[in-house]
Amino acid sequence: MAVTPLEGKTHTRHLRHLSDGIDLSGDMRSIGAMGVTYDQADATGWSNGTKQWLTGWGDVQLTGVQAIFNNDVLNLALTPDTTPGSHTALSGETTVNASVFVGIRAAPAIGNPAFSSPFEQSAYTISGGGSDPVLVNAEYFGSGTLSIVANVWGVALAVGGEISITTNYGSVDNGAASTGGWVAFLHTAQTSALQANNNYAFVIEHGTDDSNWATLTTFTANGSTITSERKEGTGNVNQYVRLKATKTAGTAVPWVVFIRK
Amino acid sequence: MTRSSPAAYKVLIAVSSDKTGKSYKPGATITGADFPAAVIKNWLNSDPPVLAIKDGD
Repeated sequence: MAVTPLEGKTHTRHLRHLSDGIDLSGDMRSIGAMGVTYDQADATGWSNGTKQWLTGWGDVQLTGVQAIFNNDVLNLALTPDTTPGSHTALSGETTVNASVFVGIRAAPAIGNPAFSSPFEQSAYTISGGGSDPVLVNAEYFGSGTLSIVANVWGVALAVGGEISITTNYGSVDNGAASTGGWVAFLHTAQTSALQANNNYAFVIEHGTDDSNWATLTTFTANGSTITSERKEGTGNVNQYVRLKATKTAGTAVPWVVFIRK
Repeated sequence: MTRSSPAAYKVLIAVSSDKTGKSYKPGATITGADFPAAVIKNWLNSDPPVLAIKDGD
């Protein structure tokens, strides 16, 4: 059934950031910029009354990422905490799928805006001084090794709650079908029980009437590891889309971004 | 002679219905009774197609 997401202004504290399945939100402090900028070539001639511009290459960016230094490791024993820290996740990263979920005046919900793209990490530094906590700083630019498009803004289809049964998530109503294709990102985050025991099939479905569904794509990731996956396709996307998670074993914490092209 | 609308369709992409709770994998056969006519029409004409008209039925 279609969700009714909140609309309006929001606060930074409602953002969530995932990098290759690792939920870094507990360490995050700020993001400088995320989105796409385009080169602009000045094509103005003598007789033009105003400057004329031609748009060039797009530049997909996630810059000014700042988080509190945290070297918590991936905790396979699951106690006392279960989330890898910012330093563990970000130091030495190369190519990653990174996503930012924008909750509207609350933690992110299905249907809220979300940003996602494959990136190359171009910088990782740490800093500190005075009485401040040690901070990590990272910069990301569009990947040269993973398929990348300038379509980076979409909607959340799942926002990380832990499930233990087969689940049809709430659907998102786009208001109309689209024909230009799509991009989808899945992050399978750490679960409260042993990760390796998890086995789910994650499928994005679309439909014309919010009741009858056809598979749009099936992810390979099954929740047994902390990871991310990107899928891309051409063709129609019906008015409604949703995530379906079918259980074989264990639990799952999926985060999904769906982008219409 | 007018040919009547075919009543059977081959599933090319997995489909399901919340109303009936049934799901069908690729290769399965459905009929016009399994899904609303408008939905079947959409699936026949979508890109990529979800259903194909099944010959010989």
